[in-house]
This record gives sequence, C-alpha cells and structure tokens, in this order.
Amino acid sequence: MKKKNCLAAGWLVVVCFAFPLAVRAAESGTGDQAPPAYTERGADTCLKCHDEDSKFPVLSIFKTKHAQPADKRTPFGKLQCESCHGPGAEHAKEVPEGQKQAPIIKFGVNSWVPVEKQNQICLGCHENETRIAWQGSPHGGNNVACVSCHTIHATHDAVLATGSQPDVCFTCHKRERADFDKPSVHPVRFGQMACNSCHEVHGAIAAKLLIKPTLNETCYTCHAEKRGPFLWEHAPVAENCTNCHTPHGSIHSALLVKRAPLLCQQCHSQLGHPSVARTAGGLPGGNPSGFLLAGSCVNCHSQIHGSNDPSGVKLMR
Amino acid sequence: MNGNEIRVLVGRGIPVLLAAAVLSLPMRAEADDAPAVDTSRWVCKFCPFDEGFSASAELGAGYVSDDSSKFGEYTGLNQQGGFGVGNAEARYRSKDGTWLDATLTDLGLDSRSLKLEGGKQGTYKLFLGYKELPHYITDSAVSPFLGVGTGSLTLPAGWVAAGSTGTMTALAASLHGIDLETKRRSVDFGAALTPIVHWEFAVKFRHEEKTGTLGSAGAFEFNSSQLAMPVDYDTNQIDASAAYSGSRLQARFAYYGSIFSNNEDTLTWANPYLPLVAGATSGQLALAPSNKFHQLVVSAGFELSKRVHATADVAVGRMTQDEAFLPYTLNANLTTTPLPRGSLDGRVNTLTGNLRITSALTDKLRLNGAYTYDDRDNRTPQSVYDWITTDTSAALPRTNLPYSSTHSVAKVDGGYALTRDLRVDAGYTYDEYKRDLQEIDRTQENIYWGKATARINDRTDLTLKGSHGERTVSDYTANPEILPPENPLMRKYNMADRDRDTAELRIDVTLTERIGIGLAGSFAWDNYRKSVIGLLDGRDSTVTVDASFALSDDTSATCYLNHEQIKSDQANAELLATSPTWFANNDDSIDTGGVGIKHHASDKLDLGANYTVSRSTGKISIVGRTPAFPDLSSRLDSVKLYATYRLKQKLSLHLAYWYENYRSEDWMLDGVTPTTIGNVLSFGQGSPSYHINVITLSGRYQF
Repeated sequence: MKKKNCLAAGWLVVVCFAFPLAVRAAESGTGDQAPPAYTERGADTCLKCHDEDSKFPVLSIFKTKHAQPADKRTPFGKLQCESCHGPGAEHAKEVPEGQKQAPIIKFGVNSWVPVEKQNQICLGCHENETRIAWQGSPHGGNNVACVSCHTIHATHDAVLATGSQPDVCFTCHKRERADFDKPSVHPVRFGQMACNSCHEVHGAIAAKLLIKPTLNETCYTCHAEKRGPFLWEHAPVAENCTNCHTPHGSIHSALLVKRAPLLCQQCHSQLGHPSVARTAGGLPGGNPSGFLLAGSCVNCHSQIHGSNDPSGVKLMR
Repeated sequence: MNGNEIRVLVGRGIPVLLAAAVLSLPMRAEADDAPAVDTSRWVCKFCPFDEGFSASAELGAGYVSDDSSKFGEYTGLNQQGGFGVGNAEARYRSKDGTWLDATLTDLGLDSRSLKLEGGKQGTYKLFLGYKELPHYITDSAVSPFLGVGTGSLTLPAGWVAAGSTGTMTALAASLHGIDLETKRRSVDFGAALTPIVHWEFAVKFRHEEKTGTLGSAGAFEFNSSQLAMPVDYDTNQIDASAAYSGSRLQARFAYYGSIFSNNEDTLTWANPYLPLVAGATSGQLALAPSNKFHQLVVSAGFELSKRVHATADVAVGRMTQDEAFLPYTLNANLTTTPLPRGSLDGRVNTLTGNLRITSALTDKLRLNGAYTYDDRDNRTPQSVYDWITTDTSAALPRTNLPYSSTHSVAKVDGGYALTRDLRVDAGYTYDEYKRDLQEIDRTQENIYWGKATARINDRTDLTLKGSHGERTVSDYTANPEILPPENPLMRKYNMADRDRDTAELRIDVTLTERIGIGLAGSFAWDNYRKSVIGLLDGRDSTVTVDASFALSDDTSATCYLNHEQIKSDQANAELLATSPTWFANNDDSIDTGGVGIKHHASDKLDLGANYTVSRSTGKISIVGRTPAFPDLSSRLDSVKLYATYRLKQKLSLHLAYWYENYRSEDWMLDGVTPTTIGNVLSFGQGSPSYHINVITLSGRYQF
C-alpha cells in the first residue's frame, strides 16, 4: 500500500509541475505552413455538387440555425460551409475521372480527421454555457465526437427532442436501455423524460454528469418535497438517494435496489422486530405478516424520507 | 512519509498543487484566429435559406382496449375507450434572423405539452412551455376511509372498531375503490439575451403543481392502516445566468432557486382499531414541510495553452425549512412538556467545488488531475423533544440529529497511445467521506483502474477496463443517541470496509458495410470484508449483444439482447446475538430484448415495427429456513406496428397499432386483501397485469 501511495504522490508531482515545462517544449516546435486556400465563391461552389441527389446531400443545413447569415456567430454568418469543413479550394478542384477529390474536413467516427480535431471545430463556437466542462469530461475525455450524438444537417436533431433522445444515448449506453424496460422506471420509455432531464452530457461538477452539483440536489429538482431539512433525518436519505434507490430501472417498486424488509435489514438489527428473519410463512395462506406484506416496514415507518413531526423520531408520524 | 501522510497529501494537497500548476503555466495572448478571406463573391445564390411560415398538423383518433393504470402509467392511456390524436408544429423564419417555433404534442392525452420559442437569432430568445405529466399508480386499491384526497380521513357512520382487521364488521360494506395517482402541471418561461459580443444572459422560471393522492400509512403501535395521502405541491424554480465565452476563457455565473410549498401540511385519520389507550382515536402525520433552496454557481474553463485546459466550479447553497411544528400528539389524555421551539429553523449550507486540469502533453500522452469537494453543513439547531409514540404512549425524550458530511475526491489519470491502434489509460482515485453523528467519522477509499482501447483491425474495436477499490473506515462506534442500539456487529453498507472490483469488456465489429455487431459485458463485485452483520457482498453482471443491419438502401433493422444478474448476501442476528443467526440471499435476474425494423416501401409508403420483450425474476431466500418464498416475476411483451402513407404531397395518413401484454407476480401484494393481515388495514391492491391493444389513425397536413 505504501509503495502504491508513493507512486501516486510522485505521479501528482509529475502531473502538476512537469506539465508547464513539457508543454512549452512541445509547443515551441510548431512550424509555419502556408494555409490552404478557400473557395472563390463559398457555398455556391459547394452546392454545385452537393445537391440532394449527390452522395453527400447537404441542403438540410438550410433548415437549421447554423444557416442564418443574419446571426454573425453562425457558420453562414462567417465562412459558410468552410466555417466547419475548412478551406475547400483544393477539394473543389475538378479531377480526372477515377481519381478522388482532395480531402476536406468531414465529421463522424469514420472520418480521416481525428475526433479531437472535429470537436475543436464545434467547440470553437459552442464551448460556452453548459459546455464549459466538456474537456476532460467522460464524453470529452473519451473522444466522443459531437456528431456521434448530434445530426447537424437535419431539420430536427433527434438528440434534442425528449422523445427521441434516449435512443441516441442507448447507442452506447446499452445497459441503461435494458434498465428502462424493467417494471419500475422513470418515464423515459414513455417519451416523457429524457436522459438530459438528469444528466448534463457535456460535462458537469457532479459524478455521473448530473445536472446539479450533487446527486441529491439533482433528484430534488423534481422531488423537492424530500429535500427538507427534516427534524428527524433518515441518515442514508440525506446522504445519497442511491443508497436505497436505483435511478434507471428496477424490478422492485419505487425503483428500490432491493425489497423490504431485507433492504432495511441491511442496516437495522435492533433487538425486536428489525432483526427477525421473515420467511414465506408470513405470506397469505400462512400467518400473514405486516412486517412482510403490503408496504412491509413502511406500513408503520411511512415517513421513510424524514419526518418533521415532533413525535416522528421513528419516522412513524 | 507514511501512508496516512500520503493520503493527506493526495486529499488536501491536490487543490494546492493544481492551483500552482495553473499559476506556473505561460499565459498566451488572446489572438483572433479568424482567417482573412476575400468573401466578396460569396453571394450564396444557390443557398435555399429557410424563410417564411410553415406548419403541419396531425389530427386523428385512437382506441384503448382495456383499463390499466400500469399500461398508461405515464401517458394517460390508462382507461378503455377512445382518445384524440393531436400534434402540430409551426415555424417561421425571416431573413433578418427573426424566428418562431411552436410545438403541440399529445393534445388528446393527459401527457399533453405545448412549447413556444422565438426571437431574433443572435440577439434574444423567448420561450414559453406547458406540460402535463400523469402518474397512475394503481386503480385497484380499496379503503374504508372517507375524504380521500383531503388531509382528513374519516370512517363512515356505523363503523365498528375492532382489535384486528378480520373482526371489523363494517369493513366489507365500507370499502370503496380509490385511485392512487398524481398529475404534474408545469409552466416554464424565460429569455436569453446576447446584447454584447461574448456574453449571454439567460433567465428561466418554472412553476409546477403536483396534485393527487399517493399511498402512505399510519400506525397506532403495531396496528396500521394504509392511507391515501393528499398531494398538493407547488414548486417554483428559477435559473438565472450570465455567461462569458472568449476564445480561451469561458465563464458562467448562475443562480438557482427552488421554493417548495406543500398546501397540505398534515394528514389526520380516524383509528379504525379499538384504541390501545384512552384517547388514541385519531392520528396525525406531518406531511413534507415547505422548504427553500438557493444556490450560486460559478463555473469557468480556461485554455492554459494549446495542450492544457482547466475547468473549475464552485457552488454555494443553502437549504432552509421552517414549517410550524404540529403538537406532539392528538391524544388529549397524554401530557407533554411545551415544544422546545415552534418550528425547526432548519438550515443546511452546501458547498461544492471542482477543479480539473486536462492535458495532451504530446500527441500520444494525456495526463489529467481533478479534485472535487462536497460539503453538507447542517446548521439545524438541536433540541430535546418529548416523544409520544404513535399517539399512544410517552417514551424517552430524544434529541434531533442534524447530519453533516464532507465528501472529497481526488483523481489523477493518464493515457498513452502505444501505437496508432492501441491506447492504454490508467488512473488513481482517492475518495474520502467524513460524517458526524453517525457510526463512523471517516471512510477512505483508494481506487486504481486501467483501460485498454484497441482497434484490432479496420472492422473490430475492443475496449477492456478494470478497477480495484479498497475502502477502509475509522472506528465504527454507535451513536448513543440512536436508540434502541443496533447489534454491535452491524456494519451499515454505505460506511463499511469494502473491496470493489469491476471489469468491463466491449467489442464492436463491423462485419460488412451493412452489418454491425456489438458485444458488451460488465461485472462488479462488492465485498464487505469486515462485515459480520449487514450487507456482506453484492455482485452485478451484465451481458449485452446487439446488431444493426442495413438490409438494403430502403430497409434497416436493429436487435439486442441483454441479460443482467444482481445478487447479494446479507446477515442479521435475532436477540442481539453475537454472531449471525440468519443469512439471506437476493438474486434478481432480468432478460430484455428487442427487434426493430424500418422499411421505405416506396415514395408513398413507410413501414416499421418494434418488438420488445422483458422477463424478470426475483429470488429471495432465508438460508436454511422454510417455507421458501415464491419467485417475484414480471413478463412484458410489446409490439408496435406503424405505417405512413403519403396521399398527396402535403397530406399523409398514419396508422399505428400497439399490443402489450404484461404479467407480474408479487407476493407482497398478491392475495393480500384489506383483512388478510390482522394488524394492517391494507389497500388490497394486486400486482398489475394487463393485455392491451391500442390502435390510432391520423392524418397529417403540411401547410
């Protein structure tokens, strides 16, 4: 253990102090190169080939906010197609039949342009607001391309609509897709809630890319009645909702990770009923038990999220 | 330097180190990177800019074949009968950037919504939205109580109180059906302004009402009744922000406010049982208290150099709650001292901070460091309160325990591209959690992880990831204020010694240009190595196979299968025994799958189908004890078929058919009538099952 900790400390020193020197050295070698040329007529040059019948139709871009010349922040307020796709004079040159056009910046996981470079183009305008924390975030740090989720040349970008967004996310998050087919879920598969209702996918303060700084604060945006603070707090509730609940789907009601009374008996072992093993002898047909059936523990301890009643210390009032 | 000192360095020193790194880096001058290009001939004469007004409206009708709260849980398709189909979109664009979007969705359902957005692009934006969201929980519950939906539940005239539910002679005649359901109605509106270059100001306000009834319960000692709790919540939320976006510096200053009001403070109910003591004829629950939360957030991102980037966030908040206290009891025969205070004056200060530096040291080497701090400082005053247990008897006075905690996480990680197609990453995380008034003061966790990402060939990508974490705790000492005491051997799992190992594998294969297959698996094992009583271990494994097929230029299909197993073992001891007297196992197994196909049959006809299947089984066993529990189970089969036929250029017809069959068995609910449990007057709701057909026909016209 000691060896591992020393290693970690050494690593820290490297990370924090070797960076500046190394970065300066790495950047000092950058040489000047003649910049590639832009087309003579901008988008008019591009649209000569890229109409709706071409292999790469592009006209849907004109249904989007990117194609608004009056907004000088947008591609068509700047260098039109070449704002994003880069200087295109070489690409636009006619070539003998059978030869390929000179490459131009294209987007997608199969592009010749590295994902990091593609994303830099998008971030050139969009690294603001909630995307400030993109770099180094789980998506940004793992080089997820912006266009892996966003469809730029489309009237409606599926990931921006509540109903269609989850399917975009499920392309990679397959376990979550299965979770939402479980019996107890948030209303994602019903089209009433999207992944970004809870997650800030472009980077966040909180773990799991949550929209608020902590997990509980995220849950309170819809469940403010559980925020308190209560006179009688239930310690694991105030600490972390996921101590008892799982957010995406469960086979147990109310998205619980496990069924009462065993869920409660993971932490409660007092003399008397909390520590008694409940068997199927307590089911209908045997000796039906209120410790097991209907609401189980919450048949009495119904204020499980906290109580503000002066006599509510046991969360029964 | 010993291990503890190292941990102190890692836990507390990282912010200092990272700050030092920030300060020691060279600051580059802001530069305008926009190239000078002659655009005098870029007239865009071929550009079909979107201008003018366009709209579409869809109108039609549908039919649901049967009643089911579970089927229509969140949509409003919960009752047999017809419903209207109403959807519409409208948009306006002008050359000067003025725009308007209007969207109306599910007009004929309880989940309807309306959204209006507009403004002048690049200058300002306004929006207004309205949304309804139902939640139908059950329509099979029954209750003898009158006044459902209010804060006062009474028993009908002629009610005969008894010692147990089976001898309540007026119960059968008094039972009536109740719907447990809620509905949210929200209005949100706001604006965003970009009055000057690099700055955006935004404000968003949201008002939500949530009304209806939810299940709750109240007891007199061990005699309990399930109760319909009234829900009448108002929540107002406001987000206001000012954001700066420069080429190297981005910053955001934001305020978030949330004001929650519960219009029903209490739920009182008549005791249907023979009072255990004189005067215990009615009980009262304090419902969720109204509360407030205010938070200021500052976020910033800074490009320290072309290869180093830093982000930082600080959020400062305060939660308050000061609802007037209820009396200790409604039982006038029990004497109490005056309340120590009229209300809680509850206050929790929150402070969250995050600092992260990411760097691409070279094109191949990446190093990152991060530190996160989260403090919950509960300043609620402590007092001694009398305790009247369930309006029945006086117990020892108690002191409230306002829990505080501090959670800090430090991370360093790095990655190196060994070759163009092989990359390895590794990292270390130190996680420290401090609590007060609980069994332990501090947990510390060291987590080590590694990851390899490889492109095996042009068609195959592979990702492997694994981690090992060790959590250790300070002395586990029970808080003497928490009575009766837990078994001294109990170790609560969120603060127990734990080893956590995880492994993940993912393979994506592009078999041909038209066929892609993915395989993913993950395994996680939590071992609470020092726990004798409590949760002992948990295991979670998942395997997913999915495939996509482009069967032709006009036909595509996808399918997936997922298997998940969630297991855990726990122990407990009756009579405060010094070793476990019983063990329990949980074993949840879930299989889900789906097939989807889309076919563009002609310029006039599009077809599609989706089939989803889900099977779950929950096995619970108390080791060595009989009788054994039956399995919990659920079975879902869902088929959706849809077709779109374009009658004319502007008119299309849509036909959709949805069949869903759901069966569930749950021993907590099945066969439990209001009289089944002698000391619990229950709702008697069964586990949900349904068999539903839905058909809709609609026409969409493009204006």
